[in-house]
Amino acid sequence: MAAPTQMFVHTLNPLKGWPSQTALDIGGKLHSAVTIDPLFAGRCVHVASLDPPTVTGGLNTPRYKTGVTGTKMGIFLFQNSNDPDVTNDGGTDWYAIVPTGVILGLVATGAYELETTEYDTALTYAPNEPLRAISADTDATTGGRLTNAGFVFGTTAYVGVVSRGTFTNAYGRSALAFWPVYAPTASA
Amino acid sequence: MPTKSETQLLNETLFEQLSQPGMEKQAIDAVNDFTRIKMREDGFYRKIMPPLQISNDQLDRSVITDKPIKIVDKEPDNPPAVSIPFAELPSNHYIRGGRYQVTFSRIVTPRFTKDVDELRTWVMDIRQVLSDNAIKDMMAEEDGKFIAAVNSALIAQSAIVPTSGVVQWEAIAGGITRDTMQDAFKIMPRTPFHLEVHTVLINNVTIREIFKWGRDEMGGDFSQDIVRNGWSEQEFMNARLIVTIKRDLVPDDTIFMFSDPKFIGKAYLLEDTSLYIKREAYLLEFFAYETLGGTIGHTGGLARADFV
Repeated sequence: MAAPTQMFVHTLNPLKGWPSQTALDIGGKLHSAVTIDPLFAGRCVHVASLDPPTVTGGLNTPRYKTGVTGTKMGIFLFQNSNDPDVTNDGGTDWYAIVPTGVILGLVATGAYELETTEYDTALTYAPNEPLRAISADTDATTGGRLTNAGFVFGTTAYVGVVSRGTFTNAYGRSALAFWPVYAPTASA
Repeated sequence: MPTKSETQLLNETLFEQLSQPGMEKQAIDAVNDFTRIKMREDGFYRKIMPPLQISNDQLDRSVITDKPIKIVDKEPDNPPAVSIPFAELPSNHYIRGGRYQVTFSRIVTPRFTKDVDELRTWVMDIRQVLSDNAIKDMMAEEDGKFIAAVNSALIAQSAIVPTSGVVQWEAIAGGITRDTMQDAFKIMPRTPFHLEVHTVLINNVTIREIFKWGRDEMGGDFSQDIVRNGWSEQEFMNARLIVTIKRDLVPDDTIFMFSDPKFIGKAYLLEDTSLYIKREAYLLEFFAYETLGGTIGHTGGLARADFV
Protein backbone atom coordinates (compact mmCIF):
# COMPACT_ATOMS: atom_id res chain seq x y z
CA MET A 1 0.00 0.00 0.00
CA ALA A 2 1.28 3.44 -0.86
CA ALA A 3 2.07 5.58 2.16
CA PRO A 4 -0.43 8.38 2.67
CA THR A 5 0.71 11.76 1.41
CA GLN A 6 1.26 14.15 4.26
CA MET A 7 -0.11 17.67 4.05
CA PHE A 8 3.38 19.22 3.83
CA VAL A 9 4.82 17.14 0.95
CA HIS A 10 3.67 19.46 -1.84
CA THR A 11 3.34 23.07 -0.77
CA LEU A 12 3.37 26.68 -1.76
CA ASN A 13 4.64 28.80 1.11
CA PRO A 14 4.50 32.55 0.74
CA LEU A 15 7.70 33.69 2.45
CA LYS A 16 6.76 37.37 2.14
CA GLY A 17 3.69 39.40 1.19
CA TRP A 18 0.86 36.99 2.04
CA PRO A 19 -1.51 36.73 3.83
CA SER A 20 -2.80 40.23 3.57
CA GLN A 21 -6.30 41.66 3.36
CA THR A 22 -5.26 43.30 0.11
CA ALA A 23 -3.31 40.40 -1.42
CA LEU A 24 -3.85 39.68 -5.10
CA ASP A 25 -5.31 36.20 -5.05
CA ILE A 26 -7.83 34.42 -7.25
CA GLY A 27 -10.07 31.37 -7.02
CA GLY A 28 -10.54 29.02 -9.96
CA LYS A 29 -11.21 25.42 -10.95
CA LEU A 30 -9.16 23.03 -13.06
CA HIS A 31 -9.96 22.93 -16.78
CA SER A 32 -11.41 19.65 -18.01
CA ALA A 33 -8.29 19.17 -20.18
CA VAL A 34 -6.15 18.84 -17.05
CA THR A 35 -6.07 15.16 -16.23
CA ILE A 36 -3.37 15.38 -13.56
CA ASP A 37 -5.00 14.19 -10.35
CA PRO A 38 -4.10 15.56 -7.96
CA LEU A 39 -2.47 18.71 -9.24
CA PHE A 40 -0.23 19.71 -6.38
CA ALA A 41 -0.01 22.93 -4.46
CA GLY A 42 2.94 24.99 -5.65
CA ARG A 43 2.36 24.24 -9.33
CA CYS A 44 1.92 27.15 -11.74
CA VAL A 45 -1.19 27.51 -13.89
CA HIS A 46 -2.90 30.11 -16.03
CA VAL A 47 -6.51 31.05 -16.75
CA ALA A 48 -7.45 29.10 -19.87
CA SER A 49 -11.19 29.81 -19.94
CA LEU A 50 -13.99 31.31 -17.88
CA ASP A 51 -17.24 29.85 -16.60
CA PRO A 52 -20.03 32.43 -16.59
CA PRO A 53 -21.51 33.37 -13.20
CA THR A 54 -24.55 31.43 -12.01
CA VAL A 55 -26.04 34.59 -10.52
CA THR A 56 -26.51 37.96 -12.19
CA GLY A 57 -23.78 40.34 -11.05
CA GLY A 58 -21.42 37.54 -10.13
CA LEU A 59 -17.88 37.13 -11.39
CA ASN A 60 -16.76 34.57 -13.96
CA THR A 61 -14.98 31.53 -12.54
CA PRO A 62 -11.55 30.90 -14.09
CA ARG A 63 -10.56 27.47 -15.38
CA TYR A 64 -6.89 26.67 -14.97
CA LYS A 65 -4.50 24.90 -17.31
CA THR A 66 -0.92 24.16 -16.39
CA GLY A 67 2.15 26.23 -17.22
CA VAL A 68 2.65 29.59 -18.84
CA THR A 69 3.51 30.57 -22.41
CA GLY A 70 3.15 33.77 -24.44
CA THR A 71 1.19 36.45 -22.61
CA LYS A 72 -0.48 34.19 -20.06
CA MET A 73 -0.41 35.31 -16.44
CA GLY A 74 1.13 32.85 -13.99
CA ILE A 75 -0.91 31.75 -10.99
CA PHE A 76 0.60 29.67 -8.18
CA LEU A 77 -1.71 27.14 -6.54
CA PHE A 78 -2.03 27.28 -2.79
CA GLN A 79 -4.00 24.04 -2.33
CA ASN A 80 -3.72 20.55 -3.78
CA SER A 81 -6.60 19.86 -6.13
CA ASN A 82 -7.73 16.99 -3.86
CA ASP A 83 -7.64 18.92 -0.58
CA PRO A 84 -10.87 18.52 1.39
CA ASP A 85 -11.67 22.23 1.23
CA VAL A 86 -11.35 22.03 -2.59
CA THR A 87 -13.20 18.84 -3.41
CA ASN A 88 -15.14 16.00 -1.82
CA ASP A 89 -15.45 13.51 -4.62
CA GLY A 90 -17.63 10.55 -3.72
CA GLY A 91 -17.98 9.11 -7.22
CA THR A 92 -21.59 7.97 -7.47
CA ASP A 93 -21.83 7.14 -3.76
CA TRP A 94 -22.12 10.71 -2.51
CA TYR A 95 -22.28 14.20 -3.93
CA ALA A 96 -20.77 17.24 -2.25
CA ILE A 97 -22.82 20.41 -2.08
CA VAL A 98 -19.71 22.23 -0.97
CA PRO A 99 -16.78 22.41 -1.60
CA THR A 100 -17.02 22.96 -5.32
CA GLY A 101 -13.50 22.57 -6.71
CA VAL A 102 -12.25 26.12 -6.30
CA ILE A 103 -8.48 26.38 -5.68
CA LEU A 104 -6.85 29.50 -4.32
CA GLY A 105 -4.06 30.88 -6.49
CA LEU A 106 -1.57 33.69 -5.94
CA VAL A 107 -1.22 35.83 -9.04
CA ALA A 108 2.31 36.35 -10.36
CA THR A 109 2.03 40.15 -10.30
CA GLY A 110 1.35 40.12 -6.56
CA ALA A 111 4.05 41.43 -4.27
CA TYR A 112 5.29 38.16 -2.82
CA GLU A 113 8.29 36.00 -2.32
CA LEU A 114 7.17 32.39 -2.69
CA GLU A 115 8.59 28.99 -1.82
CA THR A 116 7.49 25.96 -3.81
CA THR A 117 8.24 22.26 -3.65
CA GLU A 118 7.19 21.93 -7.30
CA TYR A 119 10.31 22.46 -9.38
CA ASP A 120 12.80 20.35 -11.28
CA THR A 121 15.04 19.18 -8.45
CA ALA A 122 17.62 17.72 -10.85
CA LEU A 123 18.86 21.20 -11.76
CA THR A 124 20.69 23.93 -9.87
CA TYR A 125 19.29 27.41 -9.43
CA ALA A 126 21.24 30.62 -8.95
CA PRO A 127 19.78 33.91 -7.73
CA ASN A 128 18.23 36.07 -10.48
CA GLU A 129 17.78 33.17 -12.86
CA PRO A 130 14.44 33.23 -14.66
CA LEU A 131 12.00 30.36 -14.07
CA ARG A 132 9.45 29.12 -16.54
CA ALA A 133 6.39 26.97 -15.86
CA ILE A 134 5.87 23.91 -18.03
CA SER A 135 2.59 23.50 -19.92
CA ALA A 136 1.66 19.82 -19.80
CA ASP A 137 -1.92 19.20 -18.74
CA THR A 138 -1.65 15.42 -18.78
CA ASP A 139 1.86 14.97 -17.37
CA ALA A 140 1.74 14.61 -13.59
CA THR A 141 5.52 14.96 -13.29
CA THR A 142 6.08 18.17 -15.23
CA GLY A 143 2.70 19.88 -15.63
CA GLY A 144 2.92 23.31 -13.97
CA ARG A 145 6.35 22.61 -12.52
CA LEU A 146 9.03 25.33 -12.44
CA THR A 147 12.38 24.94 -14.17
CA ASN A 148 15.24 27.09 -15.43
CA ALA A 149 15.94 24.68 -18.29
CA GLY A 150 15.02 25.54 -21.87
CA PHE A 151 14.74 29.24 -21.21
CA VAL A 152 15.62 31.60 -24.09
CA PHE A 153 15.55 35.27 -23.21
CA GLY A 154 13.03 37.16 -25.33
CA THR A 155 11.46 33.95 -26.60
CA THR A 156 10.31 32.09 -23.50
CA ALA A 157 7.80 33.54 -21.07
CA TYR A 158 8.92 33.31 -17.48
CA VAL A 159 6.95 33.44 -14.24
CA GLY A 160 9.58 33.94 -11.56
CA VAL A 161 13.08 34.95 -10.66
CA VAL A 162 15.13 32.87 -8.23
CA SER A 163 15.49 34.73 -4.93
CA ARG A 164 17.02 32.61 -2.15
CA GLY A 165 17.52 29.51 -4.28
CA THR A 166 16.99 25.94 -3.19
CA PHE A 167 16.98 24.67 0.37
CA THR A 168 15.44 22.02 2.60
CA ASN A 169 12.37 23.54 4.17
CA ALA A 170 11.15 23.14 7.73
CA TYR A 171 9.26 19.95 6.77
CA GLY A 172 12.37 18.32 5.30
CA ARG A 173 11.32 18.87 1.67
CA SER A 174 13.34 20.39 -1.14
CA ALA A 175 12.05 23.86 -1.93
CA LEU A 176 12.85 26.72 -4.25
CA ALA A 177 12.39 30.37 -3.26
CA PHE A 178 11.57 32.92 -5.94
CA TRP A 179 9.85 36.18 -6.69
CA PRO A 180 6.92 35.77 -9.09
CA VAL A 181 6.93 38.04 -12.12
CA TYR A 182 4.93 38.65 -15.26
CA ALA A 183 7.32 38.39 -18.23
CA PRO A 184 5.36 37.64 -21.40
CA THR A 185 6.64 37.02 -24.89
CA ALA A 186 5.10 37.59 -28.28
CA SER A 187 5.37 33.93 -29.20
CA ALA A 188 2.72 31.62 -27.78
CA MET B 1 -41.39 46.74 10.54
CA PRO B 2 -39.79 49.64 12.45
CA THR B 3 -41.08 53.17 11.96
CA LYS B 4 -38.91 55.85 10.37
CA SER B 5 -37.97 57.32 13.74
CA GLU B 6 -37.16 53.85 15.11
CA THR B 7 -34.96 53.17 12.07
CA GLN B 8 -33.10 56.45 12.56
CA LEU B 9 -32.57 55.59 16.22
CA LEU B 10 -31.22 52.16 15.24
CA ASN B 11 -28.88 53.77 12.71
CA GLU B 12 -27.62 56.30 15.25
CA THR B 13 -27.00 53.53 17.77
CA LEU B 14 -25.11 51.52 15.18
CA PHE B 15 -23.02 54.54 14.21
CA GLU B 16 -22.27 55.26 17.83
CA GLN B 17 -21.16 51.68 18.40
CA LEU B 18 -19.00 51.66 15.28
CA SER B 19 -17.32 54.94 16.12
CA GLN B 20 -16.46 54.18 19.76
CA PRO B 21 -13.42 52.04 20.44
CA GLY B 22 -14.42 48.77 22.07
CA MET B 23 -18.05 49.03 20.98
CA GLU B 24 -17.63 47.47 17.53
CA LYS B 25 -18.60 44.07 18.89
CA GLN B 26 -22.07 45.30 19.88
CA ALA B 27 -22.57 46.69 16.39
CA ILE B 28 -21.44 43.45 14.78
CA ASP B 29 -23.64 41.37 17.11
CA ALA B 30 -26.65 43.51 16.22
CA VAL B 31 -26.14 42.90 12.51
CA ASN B 32 -25.20 39.23 12.96
CA ASP B 33 -28.42 38.40 14.84
CA PHE B 34 -30.39 40.08 12.12
CA THR B 35 -28.49 38.29 9.35
CA ARG B 36 -28.71 34.81 10.82
CA ILE B 37 -32.47 35.01 11.27
CA LYS B 38 -32.89 36.10 7.66
CA MET B 39 -30.59 33.31 6.39
CA ARG B 40 -32.72 30.72 8.13
CA GLU B 41 -35.95 32.18 6.82
CA ASP B 42 -35.14 32.88 3.20
CA GLY B 43 -32.90 30.16 1.71
CA PHE B 44 -34.44 26.91 0.51
CA TYR B 45 -31.27 24.83 1.02
CA ARG B 46 -31.47 25.33 4.76
CA LYS B 47 -35.15 24.40 4.76
CA ILE B 48 -34.59 21.17 2.86
CA MET B 49 -31.37 20.13 4.61
CA PRO B 50 -31.38 22.03 7.92
CA PRO B 51 -27.71 22.46 8.86
CA LEU B 52 -26.52 21.28 12.25
CA GLN B 53 -24.03 23.33 14.20
CA ILE B 54 -20.93 21.17 14.62
CA SER B 55 -18.30 21.68 17.29
CA ASN B 56 -14.57 20.97 17.15
CA ASP B 57 -14.86 17.78 19.20
CA GLN B 58 -17.36 16.35 16.72
CA LEU B 59 -14.96 16.68 13.78
CA ASP B 60 -12.91 13.74 12.54
CA ARG B 61 -9.15 13.83 12.10
CA SER B 62 -7.04 12.53 9.23
CA VAL B 63 -3.35 11.88 8.78
CA ILE B 64 -3.29 13.45 5.35
CA THR B 65 -4.78 16.82 6.23
CA ASP B 66 -5.45 19.13 9.14
CA LYS B 67 -8.58 20.45 7.45
CA PRO B 68 -11.91 19.67 9.10
CA ILE B 69 -13.76 16.52 8.01
CA LYS B 70 -16.84 14.75 9.33
CA ILE B 71 -17.38 11.10 8.48
CA VAL B 72 -20.99 9.93 8.51
CA ASP B 73 -22.06 6.29 8.68
CA LYS B 74 -24.55 4.88 6.22
CA GLU B 75 -26.86 2.04 7.00
CA PRO B 76 -25.37 -1.09 5.37
CA ASP B 77 -27.34 -2.57 2.48
CA ASN B 78 -28.41 -6.15 3.03
CA PRO B 79 -29.40 -8.82 0.56
CA PRO B 80 -33.06 -9.78 0.92
CA ALA B 81 -34.39 -12.68 2.92
CA VAL B 82 -35.35 -15.72 0.84
CA SER B 83 -37.67 -18.66 1.19
CA ILE B 84 -35.81 -21.96 1.30
CA PRO B 85 -36.70 -25.60 1.68
CA PHE B 86 -35.80 -27.70 4.69
CA ALA B 87 -32.12 -28.50 5.10
CA GLU B 88 -30.85 -25.60 2.96
CA LEU B 89 -28.54 -23.25 4.84
CA PRO B 90 -28.51 -19.44 4.45
CA SER B 91 -25.97 -17.85 2.11
CA ASN B 92 -23.29 -15.72 3.70
CA HIS B 93 -23.06 -11.97 3.58
CA TYR B 94 -20.09 -10.22 5.14
CA ILE B 95 -21.30 -6.83 6.38
CA ARG B 96 -19.42 -3.74 5.26
CA GLY B 97 -20.67 -0.43 6.54
CA GLY B 98 -20.71 2.37 4.00
CA ARG B 99 -19.65 5.86 4.93
CA TYR B 100 -19.48 9.25 3.34
CA GLN B 101 -17.63 12.35 4.28
CA VAL B 102 -18.60 15.96 4.68
CA THR B 103 -15.78 18.41 4.09
CA PHE B 104 -15.91 22.10 4.73
CA SER B 105 -15.25 25.29 2.86
CA ARG B 106 -16.12 28.91 3.26
CA ILE B 107 -18.69 31.10 1.57
CA VAL B 108 -17.81 34.76 1.59
CA THR B 109 -19.41 37.88 0.16
CA PRO B 110 -17.49 40.59 -1.64
CA ARG B 111 -15.90 43.17 0.64
CA PHE B 112 -18.25 46.14 0.62
CA THR B 113 -16.86 49.60 1.30
CA LYS B 114 -18.57 52.92 1.97
CA ASP B 115 -17.62 56.35 3.23
CA VAL B 116 -19.52 56.72 6.52
CA ASP B 117 -20.46 60.32 5.76
CA GLU B 118 -22.41 59.10 2.76
CA LEU B 119 -24.38 56.83 5.06
CA ARG B 120 -25.56 59.74 7.23
CA THR B 121 -28.29 60.59 4.76
CA TRP B 122 -29.65 57.08 4.60
CA VAL B 123 -33.09 56.65 6.11
CA MET B 124 -33.11 52.92 5.48
CA ASP B 125 -32.13 50.60 8.31
CA ILE B 126 -28.36 50.22 7.87
CA ARG B 127 -28.49 46.80 9.52
CA GLN B 128 -30.91 45.80 6.81
CA VAL B 129 -28.69 47.16 4.04
CA LEU B 130 -25.58 45.46 5.41
CA SER B 131 -27.27 42.15 6.02
CA ASP B 132 -29.36 42.18 2.84
CA ASN B 133 -26.22 42.43 0.76
CA ALA B 134 -24.74 39.50 2.63
CA ILE B 135 -27.90 37.43 2.64
CA LYS B 136 -28.62 37.83 -1.05
CA ASP B 137 -25.15 36.71 -2.02
CA MET B 138 -24.73 33.88 0.43
CA MET B 139 -28.16 32.37 -0.06
CA ALA B 140 -27.68 32.41 -3.80
CA GLU B 141 -24.41 30.53 -3.36
CA GLU B 142 -25.85 27.99 -0.90
CA ASP B 143 -29.00 27.36 -2.92
CA GLY B 144 -27.12 27.30 -6.21
CA LYS B 145 -24.56 24.76 -5.05
CA PHE B 146 -27.28 22.61 -3.50
CA ILE B 147 -29.30 22.44 -6.71
CA ALA B 148 -26.10 21.77 -8.71
CA ALA B 149 -25.32 18.82 -6.44
CA VAL B 150 -28.89 17.50 -6.74
CA ASN B 151 -28.74 17.72 -10.53
CA SER B 152 -25.36 15.94 -10.51
CA ALA B 153 -26.76 13.17 -8.33
CA LEU B 154 -29.78 12.72 -10.61
CA ILE B 155 -27.38 12.82 -13.62
CA ALA B 156 -29.83 13.91 -16.36
CA GLN B 157 -33.42 13.60 -17.49
CA SER B 158 -34.28 9.92 -18.09
CA ALA B 159 -30.84 8.74 -16.89
CA ILE B 160 -30.57 5.78 -14.55
CA VAL B 161 -29.11 6.67 -11.17
CA PRO B 162 -26.44 4.05 -10.35
CA THR B 163 -27.29 3.70 -6.66
CA SER B 164 -30.98 3.04 -7.27
CA GLY B 165 -30.94 1.52 -10.76
CA VAL B 166 -33.97 3.58 -11.78
CA VAL B 167 -34.69 6.97 -13.33
CA GLN B 168 -35.21 9.66 -10.71
CA TRP B 169 -35.40 12.66 -13.07
CA GLU B 170 -38.39 12.14 -15.32
CA ALA B 171 -40.13 14.09 -18.05
CA ILE B 172 -43.88 13.86 -17.49
CA ALA B 173 -46.17 14.71 -20.39
CA GLY B 174 -49.51 16.44 -20.00
CA GLY B 175 -48.70 19.65 -18.14
CA ILE B 176 -49.29 20.15 -14.43
CA THR B 177 -52.51 18.47 -13.46
CA ARG B 178 -53.63 16.50 -10.47
CA ASP B 179 -52.87 13.30 -12.36
CA THR B 180 -49.39 14.30 -13.56
CA MET B 181 -48.52 15.61 -10.11
CA GLN B 182 -49.40 12.20 -8.69
CA ASP B 183 -47.15 10.63 -11.34
CA ALA B 184 -44.34 12.90 -10.20
CA PHE B 185 -44.86 11.85 -6.61
CA LYS B 186 -44.42 8.21 -7.67
CA ILE B 187 -40.80 8.72 -8.79
CA MET B 188 -39.24 8.59 -5.33
CA PRO B 189 -41.16 5.65 -3.85
CA ARG B 190 -40.39 3.63 -7.01
CA THR B 191 -36.71 3.43 -6.05
CA PRO B 192 -35.58 0.38 -4.03
CA PHE B 193 -35.48 2.65 -0.99
CA HIS B 194 -39.25 3.35 -1.04
CA LEU B 195 -38.92 6.83 0.43
CA GLU B 196 -41.85 9.21 0.36
CA VAL B 197 -41.80 12.84 -0.74
CA HIS B 198 -41.42 15.12 2.26
CA THR B 199 -40.71 18.47 0.58
CA VAL B 200 -41.48 19.85 -2.87
CA LEU B 201 -39.54 22.77 -4.34
CA ILE B 202 -41.25 24.77 -7.07
CA ASN B 203 -40.81 28.24 -8.49
CA ASN B 204 -43.24 31.14 -8.21
CA VAL B 205 -44.28 30.91 -11.86
CA THR B 206 -44.95 27.18 -11.95
CA ILE B 207 -47.03 27.35 -8.77
CA ARG B 208 -49.56 29.37 -10.77
CA GLU B 209 -50.32 26.25 -12.78
CA ILE B 210 -51.55 24.72 -9.53
CA PHE B 211 -53.58 27.87 -8.82
CA LYS B 212 -55.48 27.02 -12.01
CA TRP B 213 -56.73 23.78 -10.58
CA GLY B 214 -60.47 23.91 -10.11
CA ARG B 215 -62.57 22.93 -7.13
CA ASP B 216 -62.99 19.46 -8.61
CA GLU B 217 -59.21 18.93 -8.72
CA MET B 218 -58.08 20.65 -5.57
CA GLY B 219 -61.00 20.44 -3.20
CA GLY B 220 -63.56 23.13 -2.37
CA ASP B 221 -62.30 25.15 0.57
CA PHE B 222 -58.64 24.80 -0.39
CA SER B 223 -59.29 26.04 -3.92
CA GLN B 224 -61.33 28.96 -2.60
CA ASP B 225 -58.63 29.87 -0.10
CA ILE B 226 -55.90 29.95 -2.75
CA VAL B 227 -57.93 32.10 -5.12
CA ARG B 228 -58.62 34.54 -2.28
CA ASN B 229 -55.31 34.63 -0.47
CA GLY B 230 -52.65 33.18 -2.79
CA TRP B 231 -50.18 30.56 -1.68
CA SER B 232 -48.33 30.31 1.58
CA GLU B 233 -46.02 27.53 2.69
CA GLN B 234 -48.27 24.67 3.62
CA GLU B 235 -48.90 20.98 3.26
CA PHE B 236 -49.63 19.86 -0.26
CA MET B 237 -50.37 16.24 -1.13
CA ASN B 238 -48.94 15.33 2.28
CA ALA B 239 -45.69 17.18 1.54
CA ARG B 240 -44.34 20.58 2.49
CA LEU B 241 -44.27 22.90 -0.49
CA ILE B 242 -41.54 25.54 -0.81
CA VAL B 243 -42.06 28.24 -3.41
CA THR B 244 -38.92 30.02 -4.59
CA ILE B 245 -38.36 33.03 -6.84
CA LYS B 246 -35.03 31.55 -8.02
CA ARG B 247 -36.18 30.53 -11.48
CA ASP B 248 -32.57 30.24 -12.64
CA LEU B 249 -32.13 27.35 -10.20
CA VAL B 250 -35.61 25.84 -10.28
CA PRO B 251 -36.79 26.12 -13.90
CA ASP B 252 -40.37 26.69 -14.94
CA ASP B 253 -42.56 23.56 -15.13
CA THR B 254 -40.15 21.65 -12.91
CA ILE B 255 -40.45 20.39 -9.36
CA PHE B 256 -37.74 18.97 -7.14
CA MET B 257 -38.81 16.46 -4.52
CA PHE B 258 -36.95 15.59 -1.36
CA SER B 259 -37.45 12.97 1.30
CA ASP B 260 -37.16 13.63 5.01
CA PRO B 261 -33.82 15.44 5.59
CA LYS B 262 -32.36 12.50 7.52
CA PHE B 263 -32.52 10.40 4.34
CA ILE B 264 -30.78 12.95 2.09
CA GLY B 265 -27.45 13.61 3.75
CA LYS B 266 -25.83 15.96 6.19
CA ALA B 267 -25.30 19.67 6.30
CA TYR B 268 -23.09 21.17 8.97
CA LEU B 269 -22.24 24.68 10.03
CA LEU B 270 -18.78 25.10 11.46
CA GLU B 271 -19.25 28.85 11.70
CA ASP B 272 -22.63 30.43 11.13
CA THR B 273 -23.01 33.53 9.03
CA SER B 274 -20.86 36.24 10.54
CA LEU B 275 -20.24 39.79 9.51
CA TYR B 276 -16.82 41.39 9.62
CA ILE B 277 -17.14 45.13 10.01
CA LYS B 278 -14.25 47.53 10.29
CA ARG B 279 -14.20 51.29 10.34
CA GLU B 280 -10.91 52.96 9.55
CA ALA B 281 -11.13 56.74 9.75
CA TYR B 282 -14.14 57.53 7.53
CA LEU B 283 -14.16 54.32 5.50
CA LEU B 284 -16.43 51.49 6.52
CA GLU B 285 -15.75 48.03 5.13
CA PHE B 286 -17.64 44.84 5.73
CA PHE B 287 -18.08 41.35 4.41
CA ALA B 288 -19.96 38.28 5.57
CA TYR B 289 -18.65 34.75 5.73
CA GLU B 290 -19.63 31.32 6.92
CA THR B 291 -17.91 27.94 7.08
CA LEU B 292 -20.11 25.05 6.15
CA GLY B 293 -20.11 21.57 4.70
CA GLY B 294 -22.83 19.60 2.99
CA THR B 295 -23.03 16.23 1.28
CA ILE B 296 -25.87 14.34 -0.34
CA GLY B 297 -25.16 10.91 1.07
CA HIS B 298 -28.24 9.10 -0.19
CA THR B 299 -29.48 9.75 -3.69
CA GLY B 300 -32.69 7.80 -3.03
CA GLY B 301 -34.04 10.85 -1.22
CA LEU B 302 -34.08 12.98 -4.38
CA ALA B 303 -36.34 13.20 -7.41
CA ARG B 304 -37.09 15.70 -10.15
CA ALA B 305 -40.01 16.00 -12.54
CA ASP B 306 -40.07 18.17 -15.66
CA PHE B 307 -43.65 18.66 -16.87
CA VAL B 308 -43.80 18.89 -20.65
